Amino acid sequence: MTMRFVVRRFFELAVVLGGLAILIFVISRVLPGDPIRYALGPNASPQQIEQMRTEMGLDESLPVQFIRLVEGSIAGNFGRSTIPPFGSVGIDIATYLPASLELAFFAMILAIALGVPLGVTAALYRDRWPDQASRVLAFSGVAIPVFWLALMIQLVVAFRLGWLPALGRIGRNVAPPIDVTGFYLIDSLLAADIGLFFHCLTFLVLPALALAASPLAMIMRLVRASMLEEMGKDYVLTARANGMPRVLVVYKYMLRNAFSATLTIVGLLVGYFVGSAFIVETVFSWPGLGRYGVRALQFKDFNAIVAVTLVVGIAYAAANTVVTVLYGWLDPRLRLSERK
Amino acid sequence: MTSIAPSAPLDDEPHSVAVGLGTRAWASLRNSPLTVIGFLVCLGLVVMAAFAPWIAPFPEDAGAVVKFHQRLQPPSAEHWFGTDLVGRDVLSRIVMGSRISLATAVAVIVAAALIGVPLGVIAAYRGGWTGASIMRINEVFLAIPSLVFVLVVTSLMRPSLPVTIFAIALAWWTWYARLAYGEVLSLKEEQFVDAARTSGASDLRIAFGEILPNLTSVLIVKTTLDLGYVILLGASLGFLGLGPQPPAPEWGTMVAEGREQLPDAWWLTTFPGLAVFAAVVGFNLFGDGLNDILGGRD
Repeated sequence: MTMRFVVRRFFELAVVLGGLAILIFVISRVLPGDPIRYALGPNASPQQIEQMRTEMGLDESLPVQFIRLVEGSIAGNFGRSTIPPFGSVGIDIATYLPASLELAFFAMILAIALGVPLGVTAALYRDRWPDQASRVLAFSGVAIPVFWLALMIQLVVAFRLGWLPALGRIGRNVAPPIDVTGFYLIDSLLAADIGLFFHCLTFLVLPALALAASPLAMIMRLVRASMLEEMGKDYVLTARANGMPRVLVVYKYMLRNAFSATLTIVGLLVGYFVGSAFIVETVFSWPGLGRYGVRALQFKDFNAIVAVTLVVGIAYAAANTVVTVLYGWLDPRLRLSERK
Repeated sequence: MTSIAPSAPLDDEPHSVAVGLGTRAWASLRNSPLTVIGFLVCLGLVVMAAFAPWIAPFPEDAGAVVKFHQRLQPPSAEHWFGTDLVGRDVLSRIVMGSRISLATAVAVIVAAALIGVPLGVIAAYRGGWTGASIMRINEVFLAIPSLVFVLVVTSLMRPSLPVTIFAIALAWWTWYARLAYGEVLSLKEEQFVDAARTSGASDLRIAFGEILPNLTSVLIVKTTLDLGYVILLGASLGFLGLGPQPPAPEWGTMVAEGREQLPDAWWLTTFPGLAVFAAVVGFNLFGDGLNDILGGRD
């Protein structure tokens, strides 16, 4: 039955991915606006435009174009970029993706590592000052424009105080670690280069902080709410009455129950991370998929836009499936409720 | 079970009828200064947008004006928020820019609700094949994070204010469809629907005449909160250069322009960003307060 639950989730994922391919195809072919004319500039001759249309396969019939797109996505072949240096989009994505993943993972860890204890504290000190402070933090976290927060962090911590570097992923004259996972932090540890590890960490902290702010606020509020709910339950009273230390009750039993509720929004957060990465990576010149995507969007790099959107959509949908499966595994009620 | 008259003492429903909306609103407002603050911020924004040319000290600065003799001046008594690279007054541009943000938000929400709500109602009320296909399409739209979706649509077209509105609305209707779907799904099991059906009302009339009005308070809360989030999304678009194009005083675009002057001319990025922040906080607080007043859920 657990198997059935998982299989069903993956079937749903397949349906969404199919729909995603259709949606992206429709958007990229139907919307008015001619990226080719734009890529070639205003002085392009009709022959040049026609030649490029042929090169990109845009002169084929729509069904054929769609099949090409699906084939290409599976093979990781998205054609060539229409802006200099005209590289292969598939290779570009493979180059930039690890940097984005490293940033997103680090931001996620940061958001959970700070959000959960803050949420617990807010619940334990309900309506006292830590709780009020958490409320203000939560409101700001959701309402603050991430591009502005990123700029302000950069302005104060990097430019004014000079504590941490403002731009990039690694120092200009520093060689990156040998590529194993594509994550500089892990690769530098694998190379047993502690100095390099801390060097890369200094570049990672600020963008990760900007990216983590809003999710941190959401996690904090959710943990607070579910902790308050747990507090009123009988098992807590029983445990306390039996003399179990408060720390143990709070962190071992209540938090475990509260945490499964938090997991439900992690799927949503992945969407947030992907979208905000476009902004944060641009502000901090982080060489990831987000910055690549923004450049493609600004210069109407047709193939790159289609590819980045597909990759983002697939990652988002897959992450949501994994979260749902994980949630069903943690909370048997969910997977059992489907058996009728 | 047969008696309709309130003969039995219903202790578990104390005075639920006697308290009217006005009383409840007043009580909530008195207990929640944050709602009042939110309301005042929203009101201020609307007034600012409505009377922008009269409020802004230098309304002509919203356009492509050049005043080189006073470029990049820090905040002062004459220019509260300083001046930009070509000498335009930042405060005036922010005030004039409130029109763009508010117009975008209102247009997007109206369009999204007009598309999303009927689709959600139909999907939930009809169910079956129609409902399933509407909700599948909905899920596909949700499969791309909304910021990315909106960016792609604006980029493939030519960035401008109407395109921004079109693109955000195209992403946003999904939330209204979901909301209406969820609400109607439970509402259609209520007795008043049976009653309407027994008295011979048509499906169309039941769905839109009987069920839909029950969504009013949920929709009011949702639209209020969303006004803030759409302003935020619109500003993000502007920041990435894919919103209304310069010299339009769009808040996100202004932050992007000011970014070139960091770290020295900090006022160029700080104040437009604060404007976005204040607007979002305002609609958030006000929306939360409305939720309490209208008796919504968390």
